[in-house]
Amino acid sequence: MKLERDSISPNQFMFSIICFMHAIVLRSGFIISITRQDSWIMSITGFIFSLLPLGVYVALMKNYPNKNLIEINQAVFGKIVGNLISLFYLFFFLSLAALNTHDLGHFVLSYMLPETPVAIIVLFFLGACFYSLKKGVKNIMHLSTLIAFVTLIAMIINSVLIAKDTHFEFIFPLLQLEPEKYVQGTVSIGAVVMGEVLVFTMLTPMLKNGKKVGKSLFFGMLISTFSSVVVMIRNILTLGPLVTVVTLPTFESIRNVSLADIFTRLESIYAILLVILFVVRVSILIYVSVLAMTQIFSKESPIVPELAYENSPREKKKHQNQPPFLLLTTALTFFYSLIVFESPIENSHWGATVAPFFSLTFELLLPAITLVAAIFRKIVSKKKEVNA
Amino acid sequence: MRFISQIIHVIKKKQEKEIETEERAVDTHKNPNILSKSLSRNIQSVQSVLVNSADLVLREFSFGKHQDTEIKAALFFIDGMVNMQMINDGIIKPLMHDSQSSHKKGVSDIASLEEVKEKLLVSGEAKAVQTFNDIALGCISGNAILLAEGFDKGLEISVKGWQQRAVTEPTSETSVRGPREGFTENIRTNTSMIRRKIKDPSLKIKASTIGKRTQTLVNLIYIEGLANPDLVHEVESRMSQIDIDAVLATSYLEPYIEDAPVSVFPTIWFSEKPDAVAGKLLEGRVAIAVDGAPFVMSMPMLFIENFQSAEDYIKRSPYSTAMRILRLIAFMISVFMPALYIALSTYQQELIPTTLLFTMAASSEGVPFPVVVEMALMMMIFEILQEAGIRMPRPVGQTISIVGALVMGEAAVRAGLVGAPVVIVIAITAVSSFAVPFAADAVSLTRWFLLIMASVMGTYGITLGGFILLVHLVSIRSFGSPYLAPLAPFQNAGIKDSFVRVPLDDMTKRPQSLKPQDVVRQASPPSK
Amino acid sequence: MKKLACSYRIKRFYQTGTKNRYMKLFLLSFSLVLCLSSCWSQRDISSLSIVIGTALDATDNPEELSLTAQVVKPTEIGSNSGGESSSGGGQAYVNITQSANSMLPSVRAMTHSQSRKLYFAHNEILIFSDELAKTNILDPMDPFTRDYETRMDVQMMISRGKAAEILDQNNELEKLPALYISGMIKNQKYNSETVIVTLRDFLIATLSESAAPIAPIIEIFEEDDGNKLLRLDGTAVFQDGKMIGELDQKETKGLLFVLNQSSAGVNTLETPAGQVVLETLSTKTKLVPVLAEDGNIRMKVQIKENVILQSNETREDMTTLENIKMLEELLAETTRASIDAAVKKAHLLSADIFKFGEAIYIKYPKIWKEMKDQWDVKFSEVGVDVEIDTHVHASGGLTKPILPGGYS
Repeated sequence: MKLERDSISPNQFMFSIICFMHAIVLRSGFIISITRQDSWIMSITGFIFSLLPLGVYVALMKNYPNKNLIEINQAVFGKIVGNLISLFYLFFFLSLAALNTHDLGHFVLSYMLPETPVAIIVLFFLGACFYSLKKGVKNIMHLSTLIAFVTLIAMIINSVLIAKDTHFEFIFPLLQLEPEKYVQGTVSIGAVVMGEVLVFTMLTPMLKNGKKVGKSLFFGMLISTFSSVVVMIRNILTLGPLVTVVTLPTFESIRNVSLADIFTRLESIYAILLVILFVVRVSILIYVSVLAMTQIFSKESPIVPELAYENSPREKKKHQNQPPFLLLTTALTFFYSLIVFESPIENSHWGATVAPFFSLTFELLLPAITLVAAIFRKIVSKKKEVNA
Repeated sequence: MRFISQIIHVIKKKQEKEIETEERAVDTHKNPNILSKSLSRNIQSVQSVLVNSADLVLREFSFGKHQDTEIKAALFFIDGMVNMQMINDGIIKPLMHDSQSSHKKGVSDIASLEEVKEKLLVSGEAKAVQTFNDIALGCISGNAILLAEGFDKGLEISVKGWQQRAVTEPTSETSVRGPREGFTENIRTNTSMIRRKIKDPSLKIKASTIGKRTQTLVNLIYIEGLANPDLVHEVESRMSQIDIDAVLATSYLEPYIEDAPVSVFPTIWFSEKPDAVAGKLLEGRVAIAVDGAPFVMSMPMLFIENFQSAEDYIKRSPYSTAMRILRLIAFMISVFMPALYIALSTYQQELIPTTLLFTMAASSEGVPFPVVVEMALMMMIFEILQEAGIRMPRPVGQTISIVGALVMGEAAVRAGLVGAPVVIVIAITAVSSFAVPFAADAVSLTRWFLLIMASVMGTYGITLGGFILLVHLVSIRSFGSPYLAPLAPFQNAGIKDSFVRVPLDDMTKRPQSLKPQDVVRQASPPSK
Repeated sequence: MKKLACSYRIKRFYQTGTKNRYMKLFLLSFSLVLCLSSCWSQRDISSLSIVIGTALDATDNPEELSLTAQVVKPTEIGSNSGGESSSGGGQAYVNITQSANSMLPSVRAMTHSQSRKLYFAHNEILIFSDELAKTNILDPMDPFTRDYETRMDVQMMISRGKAAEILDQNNELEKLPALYISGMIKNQKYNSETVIVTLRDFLIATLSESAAPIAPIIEIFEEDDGNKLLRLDGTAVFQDGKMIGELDQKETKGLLFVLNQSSAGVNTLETPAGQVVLETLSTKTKLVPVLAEDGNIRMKVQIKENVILQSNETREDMTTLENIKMLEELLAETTRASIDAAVKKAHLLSADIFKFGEAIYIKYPKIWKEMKDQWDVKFSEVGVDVEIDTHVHASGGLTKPILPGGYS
């Protein structure tokens, strides 16, 4: 694997955000059990809510251009305190990677390979992640445009094919539940789905043009929100009250497509896309974890431009040592994902109750603290200048 | 035309001069290698260098006058590599006959071989040689060497002429409406065919010799001001690092300069058609021609080129687009079909339409092997049949394919050894893989990989395998160009000539992934 | 272009370095895993019993139910590519019956007596006997929904008498009774006298706060000459997971009108001059709850019906404006009669088969909240106003009836 400071375009960045988000968008069943037929509204309010953390990230990026979260922490709090705070992020990234791996493992277990041990499924899955990271995260970014397009097209085709089976009355009446449920839904979507864009603040130095970070983040989230609304409305219209009962509404909804006995069983396409999106997602998460780990634990900045191969043999040696770090993280994810929950039931319970607060701690609280500290630092240094 | 031929002349002269000066610099301290003034000693030395060469011909004669004595001379050449008529009419006749009656010309006294070269020889190309190594090299490359008494220099006279294949229609790529000529084994014929297509003085042909024993002439062809100079430099530097003893075909050089030698996908493109190569050059690529091989390679190669054919640019654009999409589908089928069949029939039976499932179940009834084994066996047998059919002489090859088709297909199904669907799947796969001839080798290996993945994990395995394949393709770089461009990374201008082919007047830009110096191909068409 | 050179060098570096050993080790372990892991979830087609129809019956023991699965014998299905040519004429299916205290245990219990595992992914129909339906229909339905092997788009129906016998009813055209029945169900959209209900529809209605689930009824019908036929006849109505009543064919027709599912069908009208048959082209129904001044809710059912004249068995020209008007009125009357019959039966059963409750919930959510607890009672009090707008579109290829002697 190469930890490369290689440039990608803002569009590729945006599409990788879309891929990253879609993995979860296509799986978001937990929210529907809370707000039922109004869940699609929660996608929109959740997006608006998530603009808050987004603002914090963009402000941080503006103050420290071409630096990622860990480097910003080191710059704001100094090496030791910064690294301590960064450890929290590392934990968060690793947890996310493990949680998503766990999710996917159980999805495959129940829909595709009911008798295979989940460890083997996860092993193969992480094998694919490991391989793609070994080839460089840049390649995943390049692929994401293609994958995002295919996903969006598949989503639209599925929605069109199922139009025959939709019942518009299922979406009505609007907004009849208790207000606190809507707050819960908004925070859940904002934190668990949208807020995870935090991961991409680790990758911003890869961008050629650092100024367009905010734009890419915003539009990536906007498009994800749009498709999330489409998917949720489709699920509600096809499943009606069933939507609150089934484990995976999207899957069950697509299962109903039946057109002329040929366009049936389209859920297989959904399953394939979901697996691919999850490989992309978990690969990015593992990459970010490796990046955080190397930045925290190694003395010098580990991100070296690709050019380093050319002249210094010392660099070469260093890079030879990278794979074990990647291997370590992948192995960690593997074991973590196996023990993180005892069953998917526990997982979905956690997703609906604790997850928002867990996520918000890392997505909003910590960056906000960093931002405040950064601003404070600036004011102090300015005052010093003035005094001097 | 004249202008061009002048330029060619100038270039050649320059190259010759360079070579000459180099050699002289090298050879001054190797005295025993240098010619002496005694003809007999020189003849002995040449014969000792080229000892045990039955095809070496020595013709001794005398001509002209130097200080009133006839000059004794010797002519060396290799039988079969020279044009005898040129030797007779261009060397021996002018020397023996014309020099007698050449007082008018002012060649009464021949003081140096330069004079012979300038005033007597009727030959296109001649140069002075000083060492026996050069003489030997000149002989074996088909030149005649003239040595004369009293001169410590020889003349290397170009009289090359050996049996060679005429320009014929290429067998590997046929064309219906496009040009029919194909490359031959002669590098000069090949470069001339390219040059006739691109009459641009900035078409550069750089020569070098690769192969310690074969001393093969290799030409690097590119268009200056169009191909990225860094690309040209990189190709040159990779070529300069080649240390090989024999270059017998163009592909001998491939592993030395390509980026992904262990990948199953080719990163260097080959063609037998001058028009196809000219097209590549005009997109900003670099081509390499090797003497003795009727294939010219071009680089960087993108994945998409597997699906392009020179014919596409001749046919109408909607049809070409349809064909390219068809080729993509054929590629997909030939890569994924056996794996998909295994996945569906052993893991995800719910994805098979009900009536089809009945048919499949009926045909798998009573078959002794699990379907995975069945599929693997049939695939192996198919590969064997294909290999046997290609390598055998044509009549035998046909027999093999008939026996194979009958025994493997019909009889095996009849006897209940394999199910009919498996045979059908293999047949469809095989036919599809021939629709993408360039990638056929890559496809057959990829197929096995996916088959293993499918037999272990069903559609999940195929998905992961497919993703790994995709990542592999994306990660390949061919001379700095991302292999999967313009799909990933996505590039607007390149997509116009990918799985769609827009009309030629809409292709206003060259592919970005090649980073050409001159991006604009043509002015954008007047508004339609 | 330095990068270019460098990617080349990286390649060389990867080729020669110690990396190779890592790679080999990785590949080796990976292939080992491959070998070890093969065939956990793998099952060859030939090891499966493909179930295409399922019937559930009550048994003498109230704690038990009996499951009958129709399994396909693939070699008997018309494919001629089978290993050995089938003798022909053999039955293409086997019905396997097993009793146990629940559905899943009975499926598993079958492994005691069968060589192949039952495979439900291609199950097309699900038949419950009325005896079972009257006691409890939801419990056996749960595993059918929960398991991913089964699909929610199976056709559901209730049988009069033993459900297993329905699955054993041979037909000349189809080799498999289950496919015969599912084809029959699909055919029902041409008469609009039978409800078509998939498991999904049934569950959605069950989960609804107000609506009563419905399902078609199938029975074995004996003709006068002793020939036995299958027939779809009427609709079963459920409340709280139990079958509480039936609608006959006419009431079912009315029900389909209100549900906006009446797509086609024939209407035979008795005019003073004789019999005329109209074919429905399309109908459109709108449910409009109206809040009356006294606080009660009335339901306005607006139906728009487009028909064409399909058969004129009178000797009169039915295309005159007066006659068309007369036909339209007659048609409205028959439609109203069938709807009235359905409403009457629904009120009698106090089961909201028309989804009135949902219409009220959408329009008057607040009022609905107050009345939903006593909906069972309140439903019978909802008055129904039917407004029918019929329209004869065309008279087919003839303008006038065919008269002996012509119109000279």
